[in-house]
Amino acid sequence: MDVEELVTRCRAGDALAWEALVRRFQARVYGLALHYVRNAEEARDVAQEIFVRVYRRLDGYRDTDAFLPWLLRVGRNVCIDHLRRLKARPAGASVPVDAVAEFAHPGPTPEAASEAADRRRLVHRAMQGLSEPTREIILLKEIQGLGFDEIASLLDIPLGTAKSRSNRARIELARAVLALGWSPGAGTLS
Amino acid sequence: MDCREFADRLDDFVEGLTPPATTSAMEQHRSGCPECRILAEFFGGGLDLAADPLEIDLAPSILARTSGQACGAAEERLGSLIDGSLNSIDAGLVEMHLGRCLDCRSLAAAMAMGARELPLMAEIDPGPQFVQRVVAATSSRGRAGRLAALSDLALRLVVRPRFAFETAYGAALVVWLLFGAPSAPWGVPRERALELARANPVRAVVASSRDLPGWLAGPVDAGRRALADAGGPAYERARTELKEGAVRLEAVGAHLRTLWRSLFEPEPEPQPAASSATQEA
Repeated sequence: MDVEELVTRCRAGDALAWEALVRRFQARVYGLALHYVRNAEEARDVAQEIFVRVYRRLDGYRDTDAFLPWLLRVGRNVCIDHLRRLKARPAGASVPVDAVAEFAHPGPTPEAASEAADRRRLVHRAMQGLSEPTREIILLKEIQGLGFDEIASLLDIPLGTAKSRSNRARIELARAVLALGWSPGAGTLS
Repeated sequence: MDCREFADRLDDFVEGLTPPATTSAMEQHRSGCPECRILAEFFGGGLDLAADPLEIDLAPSILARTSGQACGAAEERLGSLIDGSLNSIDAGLVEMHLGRCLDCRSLAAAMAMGARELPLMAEIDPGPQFVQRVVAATSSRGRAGRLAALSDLALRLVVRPRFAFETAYGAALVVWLLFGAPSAPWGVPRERALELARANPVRAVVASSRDLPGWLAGPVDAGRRALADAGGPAYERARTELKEGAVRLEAVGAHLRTLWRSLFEPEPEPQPAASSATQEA
């Protein structure tokens, strides 16, 4: 079912539509929360809080906007509120690597799946060393797939700034990946 | 000496115009650096370019002497190249640079790997029971939605970093409007009170009871009456003692005045006898 149709039904009080909406976006919202708070347990609570806030503000959602950017905007605000309440975590706080085991996606073969999981862990580790603004723009552009105009609107920055920041962030991430020992010919962590 | 310094001084070096120490340093660098050796031979006329052109890559040295390395310009376009949004001319230029620059090639490969892997990190399974918890937490939308929205608003206001400052500012403004502004309902007319106090402090105190606002005058009068009632006998006793003291003080003063006169004022002169006889007649 179309997301817009689900949202319309949710506004009308259809509990089944709401459950379907939660099921459709739970992994994405949890992923967003995990990247911000960097703690699996806290991320689950924050993800739940995001959905609660979305539920309360469904009436304020305009049909003319795409739902995912609106959802991510609400999610980002909840995450930032949460981090403010915690007086903000120090940048680059360590995260157990096990926490990213959930990134694993099935591959064509067990070896390929293992290599893919290794690459994701490597990228995740590289991201931990980046500054908060750099991580955030990678999160919004590369991971969540927002467009530059949506990122510019979300972060309240000019479109050109969003593009240049995104490119710089990708270069920083690539350098961090290389610094961790990855080489173009390597299939796994060195 | 590095390649850039070598390239900067190459013209003088070829023409033999460099100081001996510099010449020695450049010769030492040339012997250990194949690119600079080729460059020196080229500028010195000792190199036949047609002999083996594929072995020669003068670009780094020439770029070092002119525009500098092009890695920065390539990095600016790497993201678009990987996304496929770069036009064909720019894409060709960047790819040409990548073919010669190992650092940029590694960087591009790492960026391409990130572009493949990062989108797969968007969705992470939050585990079982998550949907049930969310649905349970949002089941009260119809009943307590408004109350929840208000509490949500209050919570957001409280967690704002500037909330304490804004609250203090607002409270100070309200206090000033009520008590400090010229037309404040409970404000004290300061100029008048100051004039009274300067002219006659006692009177100012007495007058203060008249100048009190209506809502305050009643309680103050009641307080004074209660105080007089509570301390009545003591008050009367003190008042009597003061009166008796004043009487005694008056008697002492009269005695002192008599003494003063007897000591310093002349005695009245006696009347002549003739005049007194005349008067008797």
